[in-house]
Parts: sequence; structure tokens; C-alpha cells
Amino acid sequence: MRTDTSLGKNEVIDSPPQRKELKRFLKVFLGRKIVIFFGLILLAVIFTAIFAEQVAPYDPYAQNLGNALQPPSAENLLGTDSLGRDVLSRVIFGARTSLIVGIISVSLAASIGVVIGLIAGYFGGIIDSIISRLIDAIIAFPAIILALAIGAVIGAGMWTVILALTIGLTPSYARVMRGQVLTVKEQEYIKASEVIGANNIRIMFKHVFPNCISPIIVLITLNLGVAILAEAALSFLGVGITAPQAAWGAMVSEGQRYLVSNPNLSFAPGVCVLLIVLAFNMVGDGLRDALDPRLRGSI
Amino acid sequence: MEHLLDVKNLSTEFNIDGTHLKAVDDVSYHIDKGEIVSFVGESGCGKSVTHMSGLQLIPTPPGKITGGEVIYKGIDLLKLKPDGEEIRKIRGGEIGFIFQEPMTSLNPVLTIGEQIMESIILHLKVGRAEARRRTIDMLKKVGIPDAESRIDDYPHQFSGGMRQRLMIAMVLSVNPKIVIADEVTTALDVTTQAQILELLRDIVKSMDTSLILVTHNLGVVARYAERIYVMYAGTVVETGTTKEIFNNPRHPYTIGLMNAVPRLDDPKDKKLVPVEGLPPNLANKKDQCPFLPRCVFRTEECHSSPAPSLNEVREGHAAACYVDVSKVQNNNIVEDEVASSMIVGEQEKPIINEPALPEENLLEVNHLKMYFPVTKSIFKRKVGEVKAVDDVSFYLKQGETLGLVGESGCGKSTVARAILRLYNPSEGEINFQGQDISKMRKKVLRPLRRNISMIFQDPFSSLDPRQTAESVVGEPLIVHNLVNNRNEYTQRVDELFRMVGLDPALKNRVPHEFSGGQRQRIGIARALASEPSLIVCDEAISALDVSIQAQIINLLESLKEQLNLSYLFIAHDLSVVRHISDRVAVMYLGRIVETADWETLYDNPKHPYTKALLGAVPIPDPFIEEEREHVVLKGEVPSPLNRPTGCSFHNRCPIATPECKTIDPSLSEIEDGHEVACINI
Amino acid sequence: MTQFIIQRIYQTVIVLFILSLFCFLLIHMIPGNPVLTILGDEATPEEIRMLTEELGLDRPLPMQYLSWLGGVVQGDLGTSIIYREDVKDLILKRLPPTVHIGITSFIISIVAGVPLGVIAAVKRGGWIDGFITTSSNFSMAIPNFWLGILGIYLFALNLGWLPVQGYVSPTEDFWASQRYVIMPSLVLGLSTMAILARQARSSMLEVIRQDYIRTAISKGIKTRVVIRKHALKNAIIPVVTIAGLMLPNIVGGSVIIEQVFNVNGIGRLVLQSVFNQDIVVVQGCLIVLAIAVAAANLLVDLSYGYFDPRIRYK
Repeated sequence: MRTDTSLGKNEVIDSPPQRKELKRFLKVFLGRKIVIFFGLILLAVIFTAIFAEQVAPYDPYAQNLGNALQPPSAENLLGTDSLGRDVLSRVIFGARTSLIVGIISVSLAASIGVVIGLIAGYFGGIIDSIISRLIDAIIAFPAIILALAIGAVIGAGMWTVILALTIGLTPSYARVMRGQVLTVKEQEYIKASEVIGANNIRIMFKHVFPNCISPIIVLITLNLGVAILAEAALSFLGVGITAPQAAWGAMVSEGQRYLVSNPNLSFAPGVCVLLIVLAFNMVGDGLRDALDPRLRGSI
Repeated sequence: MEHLLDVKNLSTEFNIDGTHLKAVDDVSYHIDKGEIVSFVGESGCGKSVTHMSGLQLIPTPPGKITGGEVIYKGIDLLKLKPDGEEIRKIRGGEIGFIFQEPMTSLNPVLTIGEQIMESIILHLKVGRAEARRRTIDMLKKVGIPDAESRIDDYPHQFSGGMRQRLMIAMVLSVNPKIVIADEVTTALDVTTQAQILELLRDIVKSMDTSLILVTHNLGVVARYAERIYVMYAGTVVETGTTKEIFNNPRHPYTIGLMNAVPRLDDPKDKKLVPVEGLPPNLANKKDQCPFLPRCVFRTEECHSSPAPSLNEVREGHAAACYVDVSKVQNNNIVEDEVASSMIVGEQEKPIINEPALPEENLLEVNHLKMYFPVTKSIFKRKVGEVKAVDDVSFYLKQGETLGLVGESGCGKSTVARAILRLYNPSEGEINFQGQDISKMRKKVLRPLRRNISMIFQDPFSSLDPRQTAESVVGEPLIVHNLVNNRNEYTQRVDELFRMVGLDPALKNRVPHEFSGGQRQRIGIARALASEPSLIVCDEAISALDVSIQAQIINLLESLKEQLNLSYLFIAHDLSVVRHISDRVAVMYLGRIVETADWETLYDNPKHPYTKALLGAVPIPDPFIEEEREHVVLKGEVPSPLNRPTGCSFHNRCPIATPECKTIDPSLSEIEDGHEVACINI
Repeated sequence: MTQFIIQRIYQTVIVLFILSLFCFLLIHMIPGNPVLTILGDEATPEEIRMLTEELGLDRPLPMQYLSWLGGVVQGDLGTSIIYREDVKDLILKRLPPTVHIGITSFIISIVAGVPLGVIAAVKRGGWIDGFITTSSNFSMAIPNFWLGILGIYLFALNLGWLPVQGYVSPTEDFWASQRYVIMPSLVLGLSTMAILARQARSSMLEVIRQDYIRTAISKGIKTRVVIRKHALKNAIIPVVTIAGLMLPNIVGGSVIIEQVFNVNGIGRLVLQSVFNQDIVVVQGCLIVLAIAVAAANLLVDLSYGYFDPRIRYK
């Protein structure tokens, strides 16, 4: 009898050249100049935030009432605020505040949401129904107002913002994860593992979870922008980060009073918010296209 | 003589991520008035793109027509503006296109009447009322019942077969001169396929329209086509009349295709001869015969020469090959074992003394029922049941292959999934190795799973895209603790790779880096890993191209011999089932309607449904097809939700009597091992 | 279709139930004794007892919820602790500007966003697409409070085209009202418009790839007609979903916009009450906004039936 190994050899020789997944990912991700540009901006902002003490020209909390409301000059590149503090230094420290709030709330929301979504999607049934309705309820409610309600109960502050953002963002992860799990769960390779005799834990973590994670990574990137934007809004309203800590939203609000005489008090921190949110969005879009082109438009 | 459509040296490229794929490479063909011409080839051979290019229908970019002429009525269609008045008159008006996917080819938000009328108004310049009248006529002509009321329905309210009829109605409603049917029946069941193709042929013949039948199915070609173009890797490799080509194939690829396909009239012991290897990558095409690496007739000349062009070997028969295959055959100079087997075509399987089958059954399914509740409204109120499997019994012995055939929706896959407990059976017993596993708790069942494996239909979705081939194949070893250490694991995985004909050096790749056939081999290796006694093959080869199918069938057969495996082989392709099975059971609407050993069932079918199924399968031989009577089964498979009373086949049955409406027949033995569920036998 | 409607109404009711529970429990989430927190440290025992009774905090929790919910259903939202006024009256007084600006901005964002996205998709790769895509990226990243201030600085303070702040009702002076409303509406709707444009673009690109579009082209229909008749109707369906999901955005944004433009609407009422720790008012506003969002969402869902025959004929 002819053995079938000969077939295999033949096929191997003729197999067309294949590209590795990572290579394809990098090619698409780095193929767009705009993504690289905003990626570099993000890296610069993160660097500045970490080394704020070293980068900032002045102490952001040092008041000098004699030098208040100065226009931009060589000493104070962005001028000074109503308490005579250096605006540039406060903007630099504001980056740190924004990133801390964004990163903590998004990581909390992502970890909680992913677990909830995994449970809801994998087990289905009554657990799923309850979780889904909860998700619907939170999503149907404006996140800012939720934050205000929490602010009313526990007062303003960074942890109010983080708590509100975590509650507000968790449903998006739970929902995306649940949808992913429902799709992946029906895939034949999951049935194949079940047929082999793999138990639920193995299937869930070895097969379901890794195949659900791409859109979550994209969502994390995009939500960092959302979180920073929301933090700025809450700080602007006075329910978020409170004085004297430097926060971009609060700085815009303070500057509003001196709009006619010193518009850059409001403009400078606003531009920072715009830039960092834009950067997160663009990098997120780039990641999505690179990780899985089919996701385009779905997140 | 002037041809109706004359295509010369057409070339189309796709530019994907900077690489140029030569999808159509210097293709010439012609169509004459009223003839049926077939383009045959496997997926990716460029047969669809060729026709889309002619009408400038390929998406640009990434596609680009790089050369050639498409002459229709003296005008070169490629010179016309892609969205201009002139080509739009021809596109749809004179040359119609029917696509493969009936489920997605109609616009879901427009009524079918609107979509058909739109064409009529556009091309025949008639008013809405007249267009509507013609639409209704056309709907009747293609066999849509209640055409007057259904004209205002939406596509989702029709079945797949019905939607393909709608497409035919839409395209033919404007009296085109040429109709291009691109794999129009590939997504359909065999009896529906027969209905659609007969309808299409009758209509084009009555209207004297030319039909271009693009297909991979040699049987369809043999039954319907008058002339053939065989395509491979973007080029036409052989052309001629259907009878000439089937009688006297001259290109090695054509010969290879014919030997790779199992036929309903094959001798049972025929060993399929696969076309080894894979089609070439269209990106780095060299100026060399594209079939060279897979060809068994290749000579020195082939290696050193540029790609051959079509040479007339006889009046109206041309092949693109340097070797005169007919002479090779006569002189029998080829010593290569594979090559000689190809020429002989029917190599005898080595005769082995079939071991006597054991007394006890490995698997015994008794009165299996699988009902799915249909719930309505928010409170999940049960309003009915889909009786996907309704009282099915059969057995399987060690070393035996049982084929389970039927059309989609007959419940054959549900049977497989119930046996594997991917579903929990509603009723009945599943005795495996003497134990009833139908109600066993999943936890208790898990260790037993090492004895039953499954091979899935889709080689793309059945392998976890995030795992390497090694961990896919090795998973059963880990789950069942079949190896003691890393070293043993590696050795066993390598052994499994070699068993299914894969190089173990490839094991660190992820599934998408393999071809479809290779992936299916990985799936088979996974199924073998736990040394099971039973493997359930659920449409295990139906997603593969024919030349690859043969490779996998041969692999399954030799593994069975080596390892004394039992297969429950579930498929819709009756020829494949006949080739591989010892016994066969035919399912219709959740029931087994006939079961017998393969020979009895295929040579002496009793149940009218079995007869209809076998009659619908075209045999890849135009001479036999000419003789055969084509009885087309009427109607469609009813939904299992409202199964007809009595015998569920009675509304389509040619021999039904009034009693059939009331009496629900059960399987009864008419001779040893041959059981039929019909009261009129 | 009926089943679809029933299902959606059922889901809305459940969502409202969960939100009402949250609103109700808000007062109990205040750490320590809510009455003490509200009244401050210098409260007399008499005041504490009165407020406890007024808020019904001395009764068992489920009873409190039921009576509160009963009140809500009948339009009784309690009495403001600070203003000593009916919360219902407070809200009714503050509602018109919020509704006016909210609806205007929602309409603007749909009417402008969807066509922009469709145009970008049809002209994919061209400069129009580049412009629309870049603008929408910026629009989604711009903080709306900052954009509002920017607008005031430019159009009101420097150019003097529009009033600086405030709100005039259209019943009072129609044209003046438009001048007050236009900028807040645009600022509020900008991100929604951008998101809708993006969604419309990607959904249009998705639809253009579908087999039935290929069928339509192969019938010899003009590209313009294929886009208008065959593609648009399909592409709009996912856009409707996203538009529904954007409603909370608009409502939430109104808090910020009203603060920036000094409009005395519900958003500002919530904000002031948060600072005043006037929990009863916060509760009342929350439940009213929740009902409004849920009802609007239900309407959007039901409009699916119009766009998608697959739902209509289920």
C-alpha cells in the first residue's frame, strides 16, 4: 500500500509562502504615518507626565500674587494664572492627573467588565439576562449625570471621578466581551475542544478568552480618551478634581473668568485635552485595523 | 464565423498589499448563440473573475484589467466607460449575471417585485404596470407559487432555492442574449440543484439564450454543458466539446480532476487518485507551465520552456500542454508509479482479507429524538418544537463505516452532535461500548470522550486561530493525561503529524498559515490523538476542493485500515458516501427512510426519496448522462416545524397514495439488512 | 413586529425599574446618616427628626421604595430641601430650554452627520473623504465645554454675532431665541454628529461590498441609483442604532452646555442641587431624565420597523 506520507511532503514543498501574524500586524499598524505621529505624541505625553517634576520649569503650586495673570513671556511661556502660578507647569502636571484618572478607571472598568462579560456570555441563561439588563440600564443613563449623582453622595474629588468612570465604562467592556464570547462560543473549535473532553475552565481560558481579547484592547485605547475627556468635563463642572491639584478641566473653568483679558488660560489646557484624546482615538483606530480588519466600524 | 461573444487575451490583476495577483492570465474564449458553455475549475482558478472582468464588474481597485478585448456585437466592452450608458445597456440588458450566493445576492430591504421590475423598466423601457405584469409572468415561469401575492414579499421570506429562482427570473426577465451562471447551485442541495439547473436550461433553450455555466462540479458539466473550458491558475488549459473532453482528455490537470472525483458508477474498489500538491501562488507566477509542480507527465522540456499556450489537438479541441498525453499512454513509458496509476485511472486497491466484524455493536443508537423548543415572546413560552431528529436508530460495529446521507436540514449533523453530546438528546439511548451515554452527566462523560472523536466540516473554523498546530493536535494528550512528560508529548505529536502526512517541522505555525487541505489534516491528527475507536466525520471533506478531497478521502481510508477505526461518515455527497461506506442510511426530515449495505442501497434503492436523490446526482460522464432519465423531485423540503402528516415525504413523493397522508411508516426489513420506511414498497 | 414592540417595551420597563431603584437608593448611599449630612453638624434634634420623617427614612426600605415609586408615577417627586418647592414644579420650569436645545442638537447631528458620512464613503479616498474623516476625528476629541468657551470668545465677544450667554424662549421672541440656541446646540451636537458620520461612512462602505450591490450593478443600474436606492436603505439601519445610543450623550452634555452658556435648564438644576446636596431634587431630575432617555430610545428602536422589513415581518 502506498503510504500517505508522500502526499504530505508534496504539499509541504508546494505550500505558498506565508506571512506571520505579527509581521502583518506591524505592517498595517506602522504603515500609516498618522498613527505613528499620534503614537509618538502619546509617548511624549506619557513621558512628560511621569517626569513632570523634572520637565516643569516651576512648582505648579507656587503662588505669587504679585505676578498674577501675566501674558505669555520668556519666563512663563504660557503666562500665569490668577494666583500667579505658572500655567505651563500646571498644564504639565495636569497631564499626570489626566493619565492617572484615565488609566486607573479604564483598567478597573476593563477588568471588571471583561469578567462580567465572560460570565454572562459563557454561561448564558438567567445570569446573562440579569447582567444584560443591568448593562442596558447603565448604558441608557448619561454617564456625566451618573457622576454628578455620585458626586452628590460622596462629594467631589478624584475618587468620585474614578468611581463614576469605572461604573460608566464597565458596561462597554461587558457588552463587547459578551458579544465576543457568544460569537466565539459557537465556533467549531470550541465544540472541538468540548468533544476532546476539555473542561469548562480550560475551554474558557485557553480557547474562548484569547479569541475575544482583540476588540477589548482596542476599546481600552479608545476609552482612555473617553475617560480623559469625561474627567476634564467633570473637573470643569467642579465635581471632579478639586483645587489645588492641577487638572485641565478645572483650569479651563478658572480661565473662563478671564476670557477677555487672558484667553490662553482657558485655551492651553483645552488644546491639551483635544490632543491627547485625539491621539488615543487615532492609535485606537490604528490598532483596530491592524488587529482585525473585520472589526472596522464595529466598535 | 462571427461569435456572439469573443474574448481575446483577457488579463486581470489584483493588487493586494503591494503584491500583484494574476487572477486572469491571457484568457481567450468565445460564446455562440444559444449554446451552453461551461467553465470548470477549482476555487481560485479565475473562472469567476474572467466573466466579471468582461463586464467590468470587478472592484477597482484592487482589481485591474490589464489587457485584452471583449468583443460583443462588434464593440470592445473593455473600451467602454465602466459606468457609462453603453456598457450599462449590455450589462444586465444583454448579458445577465446570476451569482453563487442566493441568500445574499438579493437586496434585503426591497421587495422582490421591485428588484425585478427595476430591471424590466430599465432595459425594456416599459411602464410600471406592464413591468409588474411581466414580473408576475416571469415568477410563474420560474415556478414561484402564488406569484401574484408573493411579488410584494421581501427576499428573507423565501428559501435559498426559491431565491435562486428569483435571481433567474430577474436576469431572464429582460431577454438577455447571454446568461452567466456563476456556481449558481453550489450553495444548494442536490435535489434543489437539479431543479434549478433543469429550469435554467429549459428557459435558456426556449429563449435561445446562451448560457455560461461556471462550476467546479464535473457532473453538472457532463449533464448540461455542450462545450467546456477547463481553467487552472488563471489560464484556460483545455477546451473542446463536452463529449470530446470527457472521452479524450488531453491536459494532465483535466485527467487529474476526473480521476480525483468519486462517481456513482465507480467500481467500489477504485482508489481515488488525488492531484498531489496545491495550486500555485498567483502572486509570483513565473513564465512556466502553472501545473508543472503537480504534473505527473512533466518532462525536461516542460521545465525549460515558457508556459504553453493552447494547441489544437483535434478539430475544436485544444490543450495547453507540451506532452502528447495520448502517446504517453500508448507507449506506457512512464515508470513513475503515481503517473501510471493516473493513466490506468482505476488502480485496484490491494486486496486485504477483511477481518470479520465483531458480534457486539460499538455504537448503538436507539430511538434517538432531538427536539429543540421554539419559544415565543419575552417569557420564553414554548410554542412548538423543531423535531430535528425524530426517532432514529442504527448501529455501528468496530472497523465499520456507516454513511449517513441526506440534504441540509434532514438532521444528520444533529445526530452527530447528539452522539457527541454537544446537544443533550431529548429521548432515546446512545449505547457506546455498552454504556448509555445519552443521559450521562458531562463530568462523568469527559473521560469517555477519548474513545470518540470528531472531524469537522470547516477546516477554517474548527481550529482555534490562536493556538499553534502543535497545541491543537496535542490538546487531547494533555486533557486525558496520555503522556508523562514533555519529551513523550513531542514524540507523539510528531508521530501524529507524520500519520496524517504533515511535516512535523510545521507544528509551530498557527492554523491560518496552512492551506485548507492541510488544516483538515491537522483536524484529523487531533481526532486520532486520543486513539479513539470511533470517529464521527461531519461533512469532513465537503468544504474542500475536489483535488484535495481525494487526498483526504484516501487518508481517511488508509487510517481506517491501519488503526481499525470505525467511522460515522456524515455527508450530503452521495458519491463520496458510496465510495467510503460499508453501510448507508438515508435521512429525510429527521428520520431514517432507508438503510442497507452500500451495494444494495445504490444498486437497488427502494424508497422513492433515495431514488430521487440518486437520480439528482449528475455523473461526470456526458455519454451516461445522455442516456439517463432526469426525474426532478418537485417541491422543497418542508420545515421540521410543520412536518407533513403521515409520511413526511408524501407531498413530494411520486408514488404517494391517499393513505400516505395518514399512515406514518416505520422502517421495516424487506430483505436481510435492507430496511425501508414506506408503505408502498 | 408586535412581538418586537412588546419585547422592546418590556426591556425598557426593566431598565427603568433598575434605574428607579438606583435613584431611590441614592439617598441611602450617603455614608453615615443622610439627614445629618444634609443638614450639617449644627442641626437640632428637632430638625433631624422632622427631615427623617419627611424623607420617610424611618420606615422599612421596601415600603419607602414603593411609596416613592407611587409618588413618581403620580408626578409627586417630593419637596426640595433647599428651595422648599415642589420638585415637579422646579423641573417643569427648567425643562423647556433643555428640551429645546437637546432636540435641536439631535436633529442637527443627524441631518448633517449622516449625509456627510455617506458622501465620505462614496468619495472614499478622495480629499472630501479625508476632510470629513479628519474633521470628525477632531470633533470627537474636542472637549465640548472648551469648544463652547472658544465659540463665546470668537462669535460673541470678538465678532459680536451671537449673544454671550443665556436663553430666550421661542414663545417670547422666536428669532432672538434661535440666536441664543444655535451655538449651544451645535456645540452639544458636534460629537454626536461626528460619531454618526463615522458610523454612516463605515456602514456604507460595508454595504457597498455586499453581494446584492454587485447584483444591482450587474443589472446595469447607474451607480448613483445603486447608492441611493440599494445601498442607502441598508446602510441606514446600523446608524439608527448608534443614534439611539447617542441620546444619553446629548442629555449628559446638556449639563455642561447649560453651565457654559448660562442656561437655566435641568442640567444646571442637577448641578446646583449636587452642590447644595439637595438629594431630593437630584433624585427627581435623575428619574425624569431616565424616563426621557428610555422613551426616546424606545422610539428610535421602533423606527427600525420602518427601515428594516426583516423586523417588520417577523
